[in-house]
Amino acid sequence: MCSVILRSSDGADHVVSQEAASLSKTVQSLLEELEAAKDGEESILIVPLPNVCDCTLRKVLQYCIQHTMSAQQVTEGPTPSDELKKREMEAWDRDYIMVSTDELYHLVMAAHYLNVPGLLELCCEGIANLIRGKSPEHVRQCFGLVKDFEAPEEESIRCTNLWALVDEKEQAKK
Amino acid sequence: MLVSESSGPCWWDELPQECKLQVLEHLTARDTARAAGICREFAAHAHESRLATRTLKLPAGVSAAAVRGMVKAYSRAGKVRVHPSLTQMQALGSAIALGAEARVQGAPLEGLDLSNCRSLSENALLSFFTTIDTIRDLDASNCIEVSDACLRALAADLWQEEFDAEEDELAWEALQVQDLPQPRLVGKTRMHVEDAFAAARQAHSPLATTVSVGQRDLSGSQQQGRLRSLSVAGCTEITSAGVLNLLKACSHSLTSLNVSRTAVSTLQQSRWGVLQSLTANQCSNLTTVTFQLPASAPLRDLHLSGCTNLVKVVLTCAQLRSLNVSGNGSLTHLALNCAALESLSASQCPRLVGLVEESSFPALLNANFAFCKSLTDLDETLEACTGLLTLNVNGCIGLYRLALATQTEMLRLEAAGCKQMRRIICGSAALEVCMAQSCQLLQVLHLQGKSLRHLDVGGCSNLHELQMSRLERPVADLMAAARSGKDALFLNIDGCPRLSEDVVSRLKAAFKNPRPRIS
Repeated sequence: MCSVILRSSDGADHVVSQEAASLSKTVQSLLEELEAAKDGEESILIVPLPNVCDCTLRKVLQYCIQHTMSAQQVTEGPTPSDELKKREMEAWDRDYIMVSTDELYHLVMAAHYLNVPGLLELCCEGIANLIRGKSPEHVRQCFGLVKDFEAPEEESIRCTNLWALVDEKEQAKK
Repeated sequence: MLVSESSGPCWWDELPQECKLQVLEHLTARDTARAAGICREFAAHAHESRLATRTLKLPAGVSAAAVRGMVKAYSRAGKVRVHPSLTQMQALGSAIALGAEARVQGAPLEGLDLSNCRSLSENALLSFFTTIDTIRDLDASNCIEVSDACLRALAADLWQEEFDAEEDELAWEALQVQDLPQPRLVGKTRMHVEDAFAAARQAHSPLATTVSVGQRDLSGSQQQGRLRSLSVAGCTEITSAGVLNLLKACSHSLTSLNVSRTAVSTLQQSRWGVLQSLTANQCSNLTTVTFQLPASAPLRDLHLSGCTNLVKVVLTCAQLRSLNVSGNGSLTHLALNCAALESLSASQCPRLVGLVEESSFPALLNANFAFCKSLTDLDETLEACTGLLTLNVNGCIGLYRLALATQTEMLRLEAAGCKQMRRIICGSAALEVCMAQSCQLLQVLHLQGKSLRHLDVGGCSNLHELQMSRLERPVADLMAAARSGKDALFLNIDGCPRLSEDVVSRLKAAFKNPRPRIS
């Protein structure tokens, strides 16, 4: 398997297998361009990624390597069971996305720029978990958002969506 | 799950729009409603997602009060789907009804989906139907407690709700008029029914008013009968008696009925009224289906697949478009007189030898007879189907020839694994795909082949005559044509030792694919 070098915005190089790197569709198409331009010279390809800092790239590559490894395990050797493997992978993903809000932000931006669909999906789920089950004030604080309602508007929105709060109030009473 | 930092930066605004949407997709209805209080952006999203919801799924664990608010808030949802765990709730029906009534400029609530509510009692189903009086589409599939008695009660309810005794008789008379074979008079006879009701209402105004007091204002369409579609698929207790009972009460409104996986044993009911779609898959008690419908009967789709004991199907249905009788292990007699039939699927009927001779379905576009092992001849059956586009006879090991001379529009022919097949002749210049691999005895294959882009005759070890008008052109021309074509080409002639070298080289030239195949 041939390797490629990914260069982060702060100039640090990461050597990874082409397969892992190709999980990023952005990198994949850059690689194709470089491949076409190199005229048969035998040299290792270097992909500069000026939009991704070293720390985030490291984290992204962790994901890519893990996911190509598990894909290889599926194709070769005895498979314990696909179901089991899938569950293991999900557990790994859950663990992986346990990061601070800041890190999550950089990760989602990088996943978007690098176009790694699986990672982007995972990040979005992580962000959704930040919203889920929290009070509006808490979410505002977390995302640095500002309440931009006027009083009557807020009241009408509250009324329409009251049903979502009814059950919790009852549960609280109990 | 995530540790949030209270002093986080304002980064939500910096996320690309598609990421934001992807995040919001992960939120449940309740999360979205709660998040509406965050800011205008979230409120707008909650508003839009509410308006875009056509089927409201009530989640597990909601209270009656929440259901009421939810049904009201999702004002465009014409259909409500009830979570199986909710059916134990006493006030669910009235909560839904009250919510729907309180909608501001909303859609009427016409659909109720109770599928898979296995513990739903018969009384509960009935009370749903009477409490939410706008319901026209009812899905009670896999509600195993629902039986004939329930359908009878439902029928009685519909009956009472719509007519008094005299109206009822008038209705039957009107229906009989409607049932007469009078093509293109549907609209007129429908008027007839309405007139009949109107006359009856006037004649018995005191009675009629008491009836309408019990209901809320019924719109014009509802006066013709309430139930529009019903599914009782998987309600194993239901038999023909219950279904017929119900049909009597709403044969002038019911357009779609699904009785799959029930104990229904007969469908010989000529009074299908306005029924457009009938599904009776996997009804193992069904042995014969005979429909002799008038030309005005609007039945368009009929599904009778997987009925293991179905032996005989006789259909005279002028408006039928699509018929599925696949997977019927006992089917031997298939007689069709369906002038508008476009799609016929009769795959995996191992006992079907052929269609009854008088059958006629000249408008057929798609035919599927795959794995009908006993099928011996299709040429005559399909002769009149001049518009045929696709034919699938894969695995028909009894077929020994296929002559499709009149079907000049055909696009796709599949006849793989026909062990007895000797000759295939297809006269369509439009044919794009021909698959006849593993027909060991195939000797002659004649194709027009002007548009052919996929030819598979792999393993046809006796094939020695392959004619294609295109191949007569010079090799250079063939290659040029292959290169200029836009479509990916496919050729498999492996394992055909009796083909002449000239033909092989010409075929290879004609199918030389400029683009690598995408695996």
